[in-house]
Amino acid sequence: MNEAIQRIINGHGIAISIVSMLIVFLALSLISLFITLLPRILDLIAKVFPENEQQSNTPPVDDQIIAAIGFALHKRNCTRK
Amino acid sequence: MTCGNALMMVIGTVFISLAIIKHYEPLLLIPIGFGIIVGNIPFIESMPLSVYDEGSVLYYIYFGVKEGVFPPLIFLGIGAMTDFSTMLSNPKLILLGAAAQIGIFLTIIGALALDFGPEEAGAIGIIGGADGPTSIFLAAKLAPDLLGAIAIAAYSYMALVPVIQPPIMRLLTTKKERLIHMKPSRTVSKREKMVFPIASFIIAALIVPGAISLLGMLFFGNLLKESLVTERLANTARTALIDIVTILLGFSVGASTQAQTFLTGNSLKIFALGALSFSIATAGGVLFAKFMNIFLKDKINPLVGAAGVSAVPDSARVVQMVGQQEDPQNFLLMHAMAPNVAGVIGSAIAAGILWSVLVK
Repeated sequence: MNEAIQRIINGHGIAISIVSMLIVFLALSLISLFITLLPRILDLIAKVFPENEQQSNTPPVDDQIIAAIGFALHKRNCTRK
Repeated sequence: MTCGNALMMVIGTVFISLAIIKHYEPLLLIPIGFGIIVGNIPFIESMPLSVYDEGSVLYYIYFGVKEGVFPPLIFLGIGAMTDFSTMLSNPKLILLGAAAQIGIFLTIIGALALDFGPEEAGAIGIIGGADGPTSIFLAAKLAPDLLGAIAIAAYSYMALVPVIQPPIMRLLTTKKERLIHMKPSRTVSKREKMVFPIASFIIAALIVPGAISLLGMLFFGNLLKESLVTERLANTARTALIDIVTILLGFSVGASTQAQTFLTGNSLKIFALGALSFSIATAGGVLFAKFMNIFLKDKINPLVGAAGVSAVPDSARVVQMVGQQEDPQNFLLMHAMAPNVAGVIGSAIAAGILWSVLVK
C-alpha cells in the first residue's frame, strides 16, 4: 500500500490530475461562457450586417426540383381550365 | 500457433458475433474482430507480413495508427456529422462534459499505483473519455507498446455503454430525479452555428495547444457542415472518408493484437482500469448534474450527466432509454446530446493536456 502511494507521489499523479481537471473545466467553461454571450454578440453584429434568414435557413433548391414543381403547377392549372 | 493465438482468434470471433448478433458497434467490432484473427495467424518468419514487420502491407496501414494519423481524420468526420445545436441552446450542460473527464484523471492515479509509468498511466486513463480515436491518438504518442490493449479496451467499453452505464445511473439517482422533465431547447441561428466552431477552436487551442490536431479537425469538419457552402466536402468527410479510416483503423488495430504482445498481465490491468475509468466518468457526470441542481432554478435531469462521456451518440441513447423506462413521455435524447458532444471536446482537451505534460 505504501509502495503504491509512493509510486503515485513519484509520478506526480495527484498534481497532474487536479491541474488537468481544472484546465479541462477552464476550457469548457470559457466555451460555455462564449456560447452564452454569442446571441448578444450576434445581435450587435446583426445591426450592422443583417442576417438574410431566407438565404441562411433554406438549403439551395435543385433546378430539377424547381422544374418539377413548375410542371406540377402548370399541369394543375391546365386541368382546372 | 500457440494457445494464445488460438485464444485471440476466439476473442476475434466473439467480437464479430457480438456485432452481428447483438448489433454492438458493428462498424468497429467487425473490422477489429477480423483484424484480431488476421493478426494471430502464425506468420512465416522470413516474410514481412505482420503489422510489426517493416515493409509489409499491414505495416503501412498500421502506420496511420502508430503515428496518430487516423484519429484526427475520424474527428474530421465526426465534426462533419455532429449538430452542436443542443449544446449551443443550453451551454450550462457543457460543464457535464467536463465533469465526466474525472474518470480519466482518477484512473491515472490508479494506473500509477499499479506500477505503470506516468506516460503509460496517462494513455490508460484516457480510456475513461470513452473515445476510441482519442485513446489511440494518446496511446500512440505516450505508450505505443500498450496501443493494442488500450484501443481494444476503449472500443470494447464503448460498445458496452448500454451495459455499463444504466446500473451506475440508477444507483446514483432517485426516482424523483429520473422523472425530471427538462425545458425544450431554444432555436439556434445559423450564424451561431457558423461562429461556434471557429471561436471554440481558438479558445480551446490557445489554452491547450496539444489538442490542436484533434480539435482542429473536429471543428474544421463542423465548419464544413455549418458553412452551407461546402456541402460536398462535408458529405465526403462524414461518409466516405470516415468509413475508409474506420475500416483501416479497426482492422489494423485488431491485427496488432498478436497474442505474444497482447496477452500479458498489463493488458488485464488495462482492461480493469478501463472499466473503472469508464464507471467513474459516468458517475462523475451524474453527480455533477446533481450538484448543479443545487444552484439551478430549472433543474437538470441528472441522468443527462452520464452522457458527458464522449461515446457519441450511444451514451445519449442510454440516457434516453433509462429516462423513458421511468416515464415514456420524458424525451431526454436531445438534452443528452449537449454533454455528449461536450464530452468529445473535453476528452480531446484532456488528451492534449496529458500529451503536453507527459511527453518526454
